[in-house]
Amino acid sequence: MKSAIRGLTLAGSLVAAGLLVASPPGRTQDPAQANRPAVDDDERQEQLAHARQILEENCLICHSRELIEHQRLTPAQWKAEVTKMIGWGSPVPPEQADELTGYLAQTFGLDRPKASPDSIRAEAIAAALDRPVPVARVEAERKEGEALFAVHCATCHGAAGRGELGNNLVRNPALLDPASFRQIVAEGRHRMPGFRAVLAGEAADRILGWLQSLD
Amino acid sequence: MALGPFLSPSSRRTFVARCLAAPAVLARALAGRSAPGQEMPALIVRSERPLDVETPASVFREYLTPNRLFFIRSHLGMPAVALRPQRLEVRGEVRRARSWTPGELARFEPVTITAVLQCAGNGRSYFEPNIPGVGWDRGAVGNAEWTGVRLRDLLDDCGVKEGAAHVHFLGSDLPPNPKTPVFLRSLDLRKALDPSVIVATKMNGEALPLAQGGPLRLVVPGWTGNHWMKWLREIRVETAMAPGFYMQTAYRIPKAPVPPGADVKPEDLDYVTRLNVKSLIASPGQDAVLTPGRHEIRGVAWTGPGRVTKVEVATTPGGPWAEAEFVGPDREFAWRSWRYEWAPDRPGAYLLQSRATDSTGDVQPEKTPWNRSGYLWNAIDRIPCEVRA
Repeated sequence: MKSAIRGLTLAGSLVAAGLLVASPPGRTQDPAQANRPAVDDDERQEQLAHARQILEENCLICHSRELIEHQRLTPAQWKAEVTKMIGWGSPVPPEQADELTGYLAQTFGLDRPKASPDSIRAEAIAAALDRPVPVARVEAERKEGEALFAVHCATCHGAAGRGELGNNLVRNPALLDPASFRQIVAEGRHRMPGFRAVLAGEAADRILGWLQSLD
Repeated sequence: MALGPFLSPSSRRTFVARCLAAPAVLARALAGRSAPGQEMPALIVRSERPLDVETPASVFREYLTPNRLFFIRSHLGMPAVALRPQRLEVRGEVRRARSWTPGELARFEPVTITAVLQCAGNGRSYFEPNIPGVGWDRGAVGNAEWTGVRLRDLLDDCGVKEGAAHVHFLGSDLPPNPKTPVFLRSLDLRKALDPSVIVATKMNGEALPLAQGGPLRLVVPGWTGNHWMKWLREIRVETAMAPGFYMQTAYRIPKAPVPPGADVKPEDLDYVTRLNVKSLIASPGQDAVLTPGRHEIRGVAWTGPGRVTKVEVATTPGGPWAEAEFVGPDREFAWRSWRYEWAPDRPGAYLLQSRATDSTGDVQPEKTPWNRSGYLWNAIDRIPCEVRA
């Protein structure tokens, strides 16, 4: 029995493996599970963590997690959503799509309890949207920013900044907060590496100046 | 006029305490918490980025929904309009292409219309089987006074050419990458020239907030929110409908009811346009605990074409139904507030329901027919509550 379970795992059928892991206590379980050694648990936890990482690196580029985590869909519906998202630019590697779909179907399937949404105060929204009008940049600085962007950023964000792997930056609210923009350039996020080593704060400011001029 | 409290003091405290203790309520605010006993309704987050938040139904006790409590829907995220002065351009099949800043629109006659704005997907979470998408409950709707200028006046100023048949609208929000569809939509010319369609600069007397599409948005009274283009930037008069996902694939519903999951051919799909008749119970709230005695059930009701003529209320499953009383203004395109005096004498579980009828004869159904995207949910509202001695 143990080898059969392992066989399923090796075949990459995360849905099957995930079902065994996520079976809540009290449900009738495969007797093999009771005798399952700790190493199988570790392997399943690794698989879950791996699938979760696929989600974080390929889905959260464009939107936050609630849009995924609050759904309760069938496996067929999840497959259709993943296919649609890849069509809309999600960079999920083809060889990882099934694993991602399996994880979503297992973790956010119809049998899961309904999600509990967060609340947010009106003042928090107002505070988040209340951004200062940015200071205009001089032409020379913008030209430098354009050149830096072409070298360091265009590969991922597109030559005109309209997005590729990385997000569209034109009219992006991130451009309204220079300190935050500098931090993102320095440290990166999601699939974006940090550019601290090659782009000092001043350089980030010039890139920002150029991006702000785009419309 | 003297209205009894909708909840007795002890049940109100219980109700508020239950809201504040609910694990889902987070104070993400930078501002301080509200004082104890001060009910400051928080908005319910369906997505943080892009921002999709809905209004708790208790806010609908008020005729006008305050700007800061109005639901927010963003397909693609808020554009950084603060980067430059915004202009509205009109191009395409016009004799004179023109553009104006929001301030320059003041040369046209101002118009104020009170209208309900409802997301086409409001109530999506009630469809069975589950439908993928933003899982709105009841709060992706609100009623506001919209001030602006008639789209017709702008188009007349530009001179619409012979052969023009559609008006395309584009906002400042951009998709995250070139493969994600642009939020491009259109109205047919006849609708665009309707005097009720306005380009709004103000909401409830204040400058149109950024979250609501400021500085400019389209307002299409009586039609669903997908038409109310936010951060309006470009108007193109054309001979054909807008192409693309958000016009031709999204916002379509079957012409006739189909079983859940059915594949429907494009020729058998209508475009989502008008709102349908609907009512909501604003108070008591979901799972409220009330004392025996007099209570007031309050709510709102609206429709697309026509006017709401009747709201009926029941307090137990299956009825009996009794008519509620309308209160407050009666304005075309807006909702009507209503109330119903209820005196439960026995403790136990109750199911408050409201059912609106409109002047075309439409009545809220038990269940809205399934459609793939979960649009236009308008079933009878149902709020369980308990009367406890």
